[in-house]
Amino acid sequence: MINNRRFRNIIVLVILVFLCLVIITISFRGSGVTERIKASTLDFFEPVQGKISSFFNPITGFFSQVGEYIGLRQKYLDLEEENANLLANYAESTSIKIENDALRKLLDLDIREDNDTVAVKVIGFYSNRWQSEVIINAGTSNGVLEGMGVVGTNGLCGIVISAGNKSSTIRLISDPQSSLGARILSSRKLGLIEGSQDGTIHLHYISTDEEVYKGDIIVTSEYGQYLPPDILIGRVQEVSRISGNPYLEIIIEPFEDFKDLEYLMVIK
Amino acid sequence: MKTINIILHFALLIIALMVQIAFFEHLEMYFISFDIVLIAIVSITLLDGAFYGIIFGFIAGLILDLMVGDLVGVSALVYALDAFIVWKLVEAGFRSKLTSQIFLVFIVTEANLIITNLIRFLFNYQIDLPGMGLELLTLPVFNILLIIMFYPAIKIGISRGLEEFEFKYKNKA
Repeated sequence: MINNRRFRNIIVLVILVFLCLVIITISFRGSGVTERIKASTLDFFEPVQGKISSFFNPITGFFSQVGEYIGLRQKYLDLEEENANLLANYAESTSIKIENDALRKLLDLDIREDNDTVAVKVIGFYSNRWQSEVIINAGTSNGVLEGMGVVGTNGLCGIVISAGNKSSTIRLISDPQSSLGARILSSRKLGLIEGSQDGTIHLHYISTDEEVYKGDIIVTSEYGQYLPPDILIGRVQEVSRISGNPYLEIIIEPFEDFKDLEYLMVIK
Repeated sequence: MKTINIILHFALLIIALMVQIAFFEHLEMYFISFDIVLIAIVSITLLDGAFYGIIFGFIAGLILDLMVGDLVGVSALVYALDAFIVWKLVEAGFRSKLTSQIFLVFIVTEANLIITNLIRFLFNYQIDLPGMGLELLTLPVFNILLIIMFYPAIKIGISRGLEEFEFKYKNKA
């Protein structure tokens, strides 16, 4: 009897391991069927997921607040410095804006339209060395489609990679598989923003001939299918040159704090 | 009674899965890494046996992969293998004591990490060996804390199972 059970367990395990390897291979080859099943699964669990997420919101909020308090002093000093710089630039920016409006009128150019957005709530997270994703409570029924950009209160968060009927998955820009076009705001140089396994975000393909400074602002480029240009991504945190590498090593500090995501906006 | 227990355990596993995605994965951003699904599978294997552990591990892993995984099937494979490893250790005598369960969780967490990295490596993903080494040291600590929290409930379940077994054995005799 015991030997029969052992044999049954081994048979079941062998069958399931074989099945898993088939599923992994199909998924790796990028089948549309797995994407459809993923979207349906998200939709199926969305009501329960939403309720459980709401239940745990106060606790996740508590952890976020503790995290914020730890770096509060340094943040205050940084903000004071930034505020002083902003005040210094304010007068100059105002005169440039007046001049810009006048020139636009002369050239008869339309000012860029604001984008339609959908407000969404984060109902799930998934984070390991290979992935950084969140689940939101809106899908195709709300007009959310794959490839659309998602922003928080401070800047770009990520891209919709899977859209179900009532829920979707967002790949954060810190995800190692994330890759999107970006520009340095001051020099308008084009590069590629990519995540990494250690969670840092890098700007690639900026030549060593270019001058890039710590604090330079990075925005989205105009080459995304759904993603509009000039959305704030982050600022340059570190620039280094490696001998033999024709490109600069640039680390970006995102404007959005991914630890604190609760409500987001999907850009239609 | 047994069937009701198994259905209840499956429902608890699904709730654990939802809690993992809604809450514990958020803590990962603060480098706190609990795997409540793994603890649920270890508990089910201890209470209901290898067969249900393997099947439920496969189902829970597949749902997790379908909801948030980039490579569908990895978690399903890993959790099914975890259940089998637990059962092999149970057969070797590790079951009821707290130290036994801590050892079980330590072994399956390490196995989980090694198997996941191996599969990713075979599918041409970049493996960060220093990062993996650090995870091998830190991940078991969090899961051990979880099993310590759930130990009283698991112990009651195991002793009830033993009582039912003894009752049946006496009736047959």
